Amino acid sequence: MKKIINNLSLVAVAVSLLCVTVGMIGCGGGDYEAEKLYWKANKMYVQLLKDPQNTKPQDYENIVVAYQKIVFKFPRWAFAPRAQLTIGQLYAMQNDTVKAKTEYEKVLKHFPNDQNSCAGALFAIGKIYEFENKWDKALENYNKIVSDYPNTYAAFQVPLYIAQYYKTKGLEQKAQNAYKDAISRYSKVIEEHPNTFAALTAQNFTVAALIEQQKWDEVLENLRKIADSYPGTPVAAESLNTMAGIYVNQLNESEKGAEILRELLEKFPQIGARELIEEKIETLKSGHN
Amino acid sequence: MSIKEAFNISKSVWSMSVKMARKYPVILLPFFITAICNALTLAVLYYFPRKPWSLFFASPIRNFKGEKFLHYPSNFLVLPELFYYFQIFIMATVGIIMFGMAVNLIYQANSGNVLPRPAGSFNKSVRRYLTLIGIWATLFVLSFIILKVPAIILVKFLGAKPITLILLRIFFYSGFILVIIIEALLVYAYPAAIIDKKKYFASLKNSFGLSKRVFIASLILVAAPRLLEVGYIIARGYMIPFFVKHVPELSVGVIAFGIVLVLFTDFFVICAVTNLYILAKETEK
Repeated sequence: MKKIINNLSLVAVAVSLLCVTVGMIGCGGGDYEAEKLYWKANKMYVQLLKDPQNTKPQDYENIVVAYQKIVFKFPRWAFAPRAQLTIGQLYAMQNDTVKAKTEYEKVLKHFPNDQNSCAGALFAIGKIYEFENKWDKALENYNKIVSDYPNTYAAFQVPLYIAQYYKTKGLEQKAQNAYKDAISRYSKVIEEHPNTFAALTAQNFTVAALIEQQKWDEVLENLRKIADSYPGTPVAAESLNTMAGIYVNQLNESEKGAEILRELLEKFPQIGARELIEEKIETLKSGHN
Repeated sequence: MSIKEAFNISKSVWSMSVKMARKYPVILLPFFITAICNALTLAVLYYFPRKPWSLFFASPIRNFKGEKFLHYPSNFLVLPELFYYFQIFIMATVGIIMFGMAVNLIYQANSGNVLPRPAGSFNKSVRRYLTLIGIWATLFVLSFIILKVPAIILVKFLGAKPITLILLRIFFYSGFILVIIIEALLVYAYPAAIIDKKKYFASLKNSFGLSKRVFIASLILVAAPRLLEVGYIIARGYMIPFFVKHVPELSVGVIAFGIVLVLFTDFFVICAVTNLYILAKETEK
């Protein structure tokens, strides 16, 4: 009798454990399910990007549905705004600007707290207006990024983008004013938030703006500031490398370029491309001689 | 003993094992129980990135592997390693008792007078647990030292160089061969512990003594199934990253296949060595 009870108890424990396990397995879902759906949708999207011209409208629609499922089932998931943005992109790729704009506006409406996605949506809407030759409306959207989402990367890109637009359209005066505004905005960020990632981003964009205007002395001055402000970092190494490139390629000052490269090797003795840089210095020296 | 004789003995023992399993399918029960435990573990681990299991697993995986492996589909890359640690636990608890149970069932099947009794064999194995775990731990620790330590030393002293990769491969394959040789020398300790109720050191000594007499046959009986396992492990190393890129869920299928493979390889090893142990004992008489 005792043996039967013991055996029954063992079986009962085993079955209970099994039931608990199987029951618990049924729980969960949430973010993991969203990740799964997102991965599958992204896979289809990447496949589409390999040959978008030859993709059938039905295939586009399937991918849209895949992303819509994520947004619908997991609206609070961190990547739901990105899924919504991608839906807009899919319509934009099909030149369906009306639907694309609608989908991008959903990002602003349903995910107002996701600054990066909202800035991305505004930028995409601006691009649609540009495509429709409605520059004023595009500009309005771009300026909204800077005013409403100033801490996003897009907010740094926009001033330079506007200047580049005017330049490509041959509107020199407007381009110069836009570059001036851009640099002024970046300087303000550097002044208000020194030694932060925002300041560094602003410095990099300042350099980019000056390069586009071919103001080499100012470019070099700013690169030197970056190298001195962030010593020992990859950013400093990159700045010195860029300085050397400008001396050699833009100002035809090979000796100065070689000097900067020597400084780079001195400050970064463990740099990966050491041999290449030494070779470059030799080439510059012999070229100068 | 010549190689030809050893092959003949191995063939006979395998044939005997297969016939025994056909006549007394209950002999396979212990291996099925271990496989079911492994399968249940895999089923639970499949859900490790999700609640409630993520409450236990998230922190250690985040600390040792990285945040990436808590998310789809990278979680499948860490699944084999996670499963391996749990397999060790299952082996050290349920698995080793099942080995003992299997040995006793095979012994009873050999006697012909008594039908193999699972409950009695289970009880006997539980009573011999300490000796069995000692034998298993000896094999495990030796395997660990042979397979892992050279890799750690090589990486520490040579760093990431092309020669390190070549040496790692050499040590990996030669390590596996050495592990198989050691298992061939010590595997008879299980039947010695169960059938003759020998204690830990006596079981090892007994195993060593018997294995020396039939070393090549023992090596064949152990090596053939274990090399299948080695082949599977190597193939799995390529298959899982491939599946994670294309159909991540198939990675679970690959691991599940491993559970089934181990069910049969363990059966062949334990059944064969137990039968050879019994034959050797009868020959001695």
